[in-house]
Amino acid sequence: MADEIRVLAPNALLGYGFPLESLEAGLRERPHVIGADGGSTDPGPYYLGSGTSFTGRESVKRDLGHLLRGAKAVAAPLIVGSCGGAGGEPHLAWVYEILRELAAEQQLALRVALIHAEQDAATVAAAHRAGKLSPLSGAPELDQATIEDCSRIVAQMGYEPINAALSEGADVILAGRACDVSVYAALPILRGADIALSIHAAKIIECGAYCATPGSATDSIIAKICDDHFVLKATNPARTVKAPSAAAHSLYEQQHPSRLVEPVGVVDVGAAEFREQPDGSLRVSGSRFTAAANYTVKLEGARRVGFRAVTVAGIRDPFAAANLEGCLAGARSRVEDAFGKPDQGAPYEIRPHVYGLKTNGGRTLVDADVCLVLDVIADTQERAAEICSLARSTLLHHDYPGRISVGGNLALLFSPHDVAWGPVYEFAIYHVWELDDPLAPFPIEYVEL
Amino acid sequence: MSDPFLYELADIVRSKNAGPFLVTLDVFIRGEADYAHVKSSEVITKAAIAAAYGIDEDHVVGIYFWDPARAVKITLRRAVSSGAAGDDDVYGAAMHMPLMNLVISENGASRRAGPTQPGVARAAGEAAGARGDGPTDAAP
Repeated sequence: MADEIRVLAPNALLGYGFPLESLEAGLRERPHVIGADGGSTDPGPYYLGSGTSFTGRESVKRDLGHLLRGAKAVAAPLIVGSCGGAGGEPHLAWVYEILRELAAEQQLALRVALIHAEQDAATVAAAHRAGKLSPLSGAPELDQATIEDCSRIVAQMGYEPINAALSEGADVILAGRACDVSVYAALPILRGADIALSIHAAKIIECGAYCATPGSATDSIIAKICDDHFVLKATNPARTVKAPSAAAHSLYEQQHPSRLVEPVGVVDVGAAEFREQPDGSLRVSGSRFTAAANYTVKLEGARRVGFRAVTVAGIRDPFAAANLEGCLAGARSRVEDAFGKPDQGAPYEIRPHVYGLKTNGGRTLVDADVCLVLDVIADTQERAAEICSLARSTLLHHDYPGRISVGGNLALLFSPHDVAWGPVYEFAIYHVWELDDPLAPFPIEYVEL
Repeated sequence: MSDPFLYELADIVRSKNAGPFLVTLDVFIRGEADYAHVKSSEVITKAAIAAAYGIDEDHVVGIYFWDPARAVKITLRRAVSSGAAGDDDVYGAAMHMPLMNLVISENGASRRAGPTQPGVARAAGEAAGARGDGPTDAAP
């Protein structure tokens, strides 16, 4: 491998933005690759299930446009992982469409690799029957019906499919759902860098300069991976990389503090040494890799469970606040009269989310300023709206003992009062899938733009 | 001087999803002596965390001390997975209050009065056996 492999991470998430000066400073370091993470499961199952992005189109286009120009300028490949947030087919197509617009606008000739990550229910069901799936900690057991119920299933690719595309000379790689680490560790590993150092560095820079001091998810960082250590440097001179913040980021969003679990194996960072350098960078060494007995990727599946309608109201009268429970019981009862019991016939759920209600020895404080978010889920959008409307109007006028404010119990926030919030999903699959071939579930398509 | 709350000894107390079914809590203790005390006195135990959060001990997936960062990591099972019906903290970013309010005494952790955490504790309605029914434990 070269003396060092340099990986530029412009920010934590494509679409979050970054200072152009930070990108320029990063480009002056002549990165061998620019990586951008496009997604996460953090925003919840809706985006996977519905096939939509949680970042805005203009924001993604702006970031991608700058990165495309930068990558061309230094002749480095640009890798975008978990395109469109959840990394399914509609998400990948959404980012590809943006890329095509940019290529035309910037008059660029590009060799593009599209790596697909969405999985057929039939493929997943076959893997389940073959005993190749097991639930991750906390996830429910799986059955055939659940797999078929999922609106969309994706698998998180390791670095191998990305390296296959790099080996085919892709200028831009748009990957469907991918491990965050894969985006940044792929090229160093392909060029022969140490796998433990590559993965550890990738894990720390996957949120951009979030690992720096002061930290930021909207600024850039570069990792320089050498033979027996790596160096992290914030490209914005206002930031340094300190041992505590980088060490802290090693364990961010991980179940375990010192074990980074990736498809190919586990990197133990428990004995890693973090040494601050005079120039504000950080030298890290001592992470160790153990290959997994079986290669596994994560599967994520989202299932639709109903449709939601919501209303938001303030409750300021202290007596109304103190009697909220009784009013809610009255509203439930009125809804049951009209629509039946929640668990009979067509199911529905009414959930009051109550914010700011403080009690003092059982008596509500006089300065009540309570927010009620009434959350109704039913089998159709229309029914959710009907139930929400009836529950809200009942709450507004419901009587309670000692009521003096007979004009209404709720300070309704908006007209119209209720919002059709759309379909509700849940993660029904969060499993590992044992693979014989790390490339098999991730077909690669090459396009010349 | 009265016994400190955990947050008074820490630079950072945070919570965040570790995937949709787990939430992980990180505490970074400021001083070596405080870290050594918190670690050696075993004030952070599965039983103490389960009590603070109002959950079963087997929902405390792990408690890990990591010396290089003077860190304590606690991973919990979510009662409701991220963004599913009934969840009220999609990123799991506001589930650290019962932890930050643990009192670190000489002999062990005890909890001062405070609400349980709806995001990881079983929702009040579920505990009562009604599907999503009933106001939350915030109701009077």
